Amino acid sequence: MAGITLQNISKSFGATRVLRDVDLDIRDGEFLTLVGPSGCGKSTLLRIIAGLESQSGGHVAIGGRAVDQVRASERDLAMVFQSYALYPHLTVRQNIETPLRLRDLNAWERLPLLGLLSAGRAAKMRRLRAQVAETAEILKIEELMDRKPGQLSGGQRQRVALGRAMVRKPAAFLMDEPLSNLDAALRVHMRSELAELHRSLATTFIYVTHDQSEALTMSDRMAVMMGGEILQLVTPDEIYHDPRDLRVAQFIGTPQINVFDAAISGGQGVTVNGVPLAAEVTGDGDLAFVAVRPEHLTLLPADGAGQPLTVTLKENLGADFFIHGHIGDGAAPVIVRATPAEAADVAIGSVCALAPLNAAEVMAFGRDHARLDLVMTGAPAAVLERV
Amino acid sequence: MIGYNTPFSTAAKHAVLIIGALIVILPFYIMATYSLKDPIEITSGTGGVFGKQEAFLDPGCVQSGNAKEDCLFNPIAYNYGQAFSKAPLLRYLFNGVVVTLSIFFIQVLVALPCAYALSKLRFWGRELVFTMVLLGLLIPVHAIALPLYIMLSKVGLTNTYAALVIPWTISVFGIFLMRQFFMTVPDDLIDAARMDGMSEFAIVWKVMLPTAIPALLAFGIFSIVAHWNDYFWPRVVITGTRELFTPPLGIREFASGIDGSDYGPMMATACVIVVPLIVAFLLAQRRFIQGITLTGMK
Repeated sequence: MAGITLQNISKSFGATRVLRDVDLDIRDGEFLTLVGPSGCGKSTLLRIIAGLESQSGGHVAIGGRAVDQVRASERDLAMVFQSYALYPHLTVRQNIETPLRLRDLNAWERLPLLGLLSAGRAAKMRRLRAQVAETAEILKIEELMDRKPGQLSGGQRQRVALGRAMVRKPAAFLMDEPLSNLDAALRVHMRSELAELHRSLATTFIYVTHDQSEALTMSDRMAVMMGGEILQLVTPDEIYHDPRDLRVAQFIGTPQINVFDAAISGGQGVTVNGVPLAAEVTGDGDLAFVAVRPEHLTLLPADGAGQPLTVTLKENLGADFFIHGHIGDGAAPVIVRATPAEAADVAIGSVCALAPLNAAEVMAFGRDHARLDLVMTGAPAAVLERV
Repeated sequence: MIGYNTPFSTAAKHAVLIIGALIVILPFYIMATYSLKDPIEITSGTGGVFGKQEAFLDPGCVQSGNAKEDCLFNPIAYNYGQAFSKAPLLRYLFNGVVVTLSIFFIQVLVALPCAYALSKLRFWGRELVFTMVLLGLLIPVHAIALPLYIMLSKVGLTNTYAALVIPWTISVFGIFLMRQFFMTVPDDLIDAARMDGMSEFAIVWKVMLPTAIPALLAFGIFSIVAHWNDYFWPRVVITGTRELFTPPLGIREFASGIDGSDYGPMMATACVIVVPLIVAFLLAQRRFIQGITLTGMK
């Protein structure tokens, strides 16, 4: 168990800068997720922590110990790969045993026949087998132990890969999209199992994914990465409700957050698509966008007091409906989350009305994507006149 | 018309394949059938496939002063008996096994780490080195045979096993084949081994070698066939002692003696030399084809 500190980590492949001065402080025992679109540098960052890739600049420390010059095998970390990377020629038992043998037996004891002659080997092997058995029991893979990886299903391989990582009781687990090769149902199931495992092991987990639902459900804290930078590092709740960057707001949340053009008119007053909003921007910042989560938009009947919304698509998700449409002449696409009751009389092609924005649920962003603070003017649920 | 076969086109395809097969099989047929016949049947071209198997009189035997009755032989017994007695064929076979296996063993020892470095390690000049490997594939052995011979003789290694083995220990083809196979091994597997604490050498022998068995078998067949059948190089470096002759050199023992070539025993020797390879190929056929198609692991 150990905290991990990254200082000014940068990485370039040739002329391409993949990571730009990343600082990251991972607490002991924390489940931290690195999430971002593909190519954002999250896997590279994980590989730098693992020691599989060397950074172009900056420092890595694990448990207070600088490990910049330390080989991957000596960092006391375990990694679970997207492809599981099990040794195809070894049985499950041998796969799980391998890291222990390499750590606990010396070169002499590992020799095929001569090793049997060495004195302490038997005791070591007994201890090692006990550890393997214990791991197998935790992961419920005891009946698979004599099979080869080729004879296992994706989910089973996943467990074996976890077992191989766990058996060493490493300082931290590194996981590189471990669930992305599983089918949807199994992925949801493994999500809860991983979170459970983290609770019982109480070890640091660093988890890389491009799947925001994995990040939101499992992590203590999540870091949203884009273009080789960490845009925001807070709890999943805060990321969702209080994104500090428009790109974070757009990346997290399904369906995607609605973004409207906004401007300041007459002093500090905000207008969205030309409609005034009962709020003012405090401080400096060049207001350019206003964003609203789909669940914070409300549909009104067609004759309601609101902007007309032409419906282009209606998605049924059972508990909810996603209504896709656009305001006016198609300039601004909008997604509204509606209850089945609200969506009942919405037909594709019809025009209904979008209730005026509630200033309390609106986030404002500057032209540089940075979040701007809004102060409401008027009543909290102030509504606007229809234009 | 793609994929549509008329009876005529099918027949034409088969005819071409049958003619091709006959051309390939004919020498083998002659080899096998000559090894069963007596000299008169061979020279006169009679006796069908198996010969009449009548006892014949060996003139050489009579000349050395034996009674006529003692010089009557069954052709098969005579041919194969001569093959093993006139020349130490078992010794030649043993030499062949020692040489081909040593060559293959050392080739693997060299090719696997090279292929691993060329496919999985990043270092400055890797592409250049690989280009040189490819260039190496283009150099025919015969072009460098003389310099090689001179070098070996300067260090006094001609007429030794070493002379038969050393020039072949670095197989450019082996490095190339294994490199192509290693390219298909996922990087994650190697990273996992590194995380588990394996050194790079351990990765080569404990992770890459077991996954590369199909490719290795294919390479093994290429290597063993090439060196088992090689006549040229042993003929160059083994000049004195018959002790070190490899099987193909053994065939020469029967060629153009004072009383002409002794075809029966010669072909019997050839059969004995060829059979181990054919058996080995049939046993490893499936693996061999797997290796050639280079289907990597998923």
